[in-house]
Amino acid sequence: MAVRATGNAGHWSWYFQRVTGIALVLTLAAHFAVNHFMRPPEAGGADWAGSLYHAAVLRLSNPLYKGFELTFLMLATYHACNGLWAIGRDVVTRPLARTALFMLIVLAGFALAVVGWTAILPIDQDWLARGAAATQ
Amino acid sequence: MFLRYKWETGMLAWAMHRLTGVAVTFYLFLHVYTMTKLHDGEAAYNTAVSAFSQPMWKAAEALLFGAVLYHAVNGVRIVLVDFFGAARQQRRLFWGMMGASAAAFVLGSWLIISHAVH
Ligand code: HEM
Ligand code: HEM
Repeated sequence: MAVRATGNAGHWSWYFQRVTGIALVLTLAAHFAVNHFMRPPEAGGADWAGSLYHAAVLRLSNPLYKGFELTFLMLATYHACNGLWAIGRDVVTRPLARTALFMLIVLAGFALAVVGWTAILPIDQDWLARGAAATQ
Repeated sequence: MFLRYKWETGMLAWAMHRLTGVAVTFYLFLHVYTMTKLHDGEAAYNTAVSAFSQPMWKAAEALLFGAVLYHAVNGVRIVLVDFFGAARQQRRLFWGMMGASAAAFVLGSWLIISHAVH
C-alpha cells in the first residue's frame, strides 16, 4: 500500500482524528462538569433538586450553551465516524463491502447529527410550561 | 525480552483504545436519541433519564466514565508521541498516565456510585 506523507485522504483522516480528539478532551470535561457537578444558576445553584427536564431546559435556553452542545455534538459525530471508518478500513478488504460500509457510516453520522440538532435546537424558556403541560 | 514486553503493552493499549472508542460511540447514539425525549414533555424525559439513577445503571455509568477516561488519556498519549516526539519516553509516559487515570477512575466511580454527584 502506498503511503504518502501529504495529499492523501488517509493522512487527513489521521490528522483530524488527533485534532478532534484533543478538542473532545476539553468539551467532554466541560460536559461532565456541567451535567454532574452543577445546577443551572437560574434554578438556585448547586443544591437545587428540581427535575432533570427543568435543568436541561434551563441550560439549553442559553444560546451560548446550546451552541457549545451542538459544537460538541459535531466534534463527537465526526470523530466517532472517522474512527469507525479507520477500523472498517482495517477489517474489511473487499472493495464493494468497503464502499458499502463507508456509505453506511456516513449515513449514520448524518442521522446522528440531524437527530441531535432537532432534539435541542428549538428549546427555549417556553419549554418549561410546555413540558409540564404535555404531562397533563 | 524487553522489546517483546513493550510490544505487548502497545498492542493491549491499542486494542483497548479501539474497544473503548466503539463502546463510547454506541453510547453516543443512545444518548442523543434520549435527548429527543425532551420533546415528549417533562414526565417522559424525566422517566427516560432517571433510569440512570438505578443501581445497575450507576455501575454502567462508572464503566462509561472509565471507558471515556481511558480513551481520552490514551488518546492524549498518542498525540504526544505522534506530534511532540515523546517516543523515547513511551514506557514511562504510558505507565505514568495509566497510573494517574486509574486513580481518577477510582475516585470518579466512587463519586458516581456513592451518589455524591447528582
Ligand atoms: C476524550 C477525548 C478523545 C481523545 C483525546 C481521542 C483520541 C483519539 C485518537 C488519537 C484516536 C486515533 C487512534 C489511532 O490512530 O490509533 C482515536 C480513535 C478513535 N476514537 Fe477517540 N478520542 C476522544 C474521544 C472519543 C469519543 C467521545 C469517541 C466516541 C464518541 C471516540 C471514538 C473513537 C473511535 C471509534 C476511534 C477509532 C479507534 C481506532 O482507530 O482504533 N473518541 N481517538
Ligand atoms: C453519564 C454522563 C453524562 C451525562 C449525565 C450527560 C448528560 C447530558 C444532558 C443532560 C444533555 C442535555 C443537554 C444539557 O442539559 O446539557 C446531554 C447532551 C449531550 N451529551 Fe451528554 N451526558 C453524559 C455523557 C456524555 C458523553 C460521554 C458524551 C459523548 C460521547 C455526551 C455527548 C452529548 C452530546 C453530543 C449532547 C448534545 C445532544 C444533542 O445535541 O441532542 N454525553 N448530555
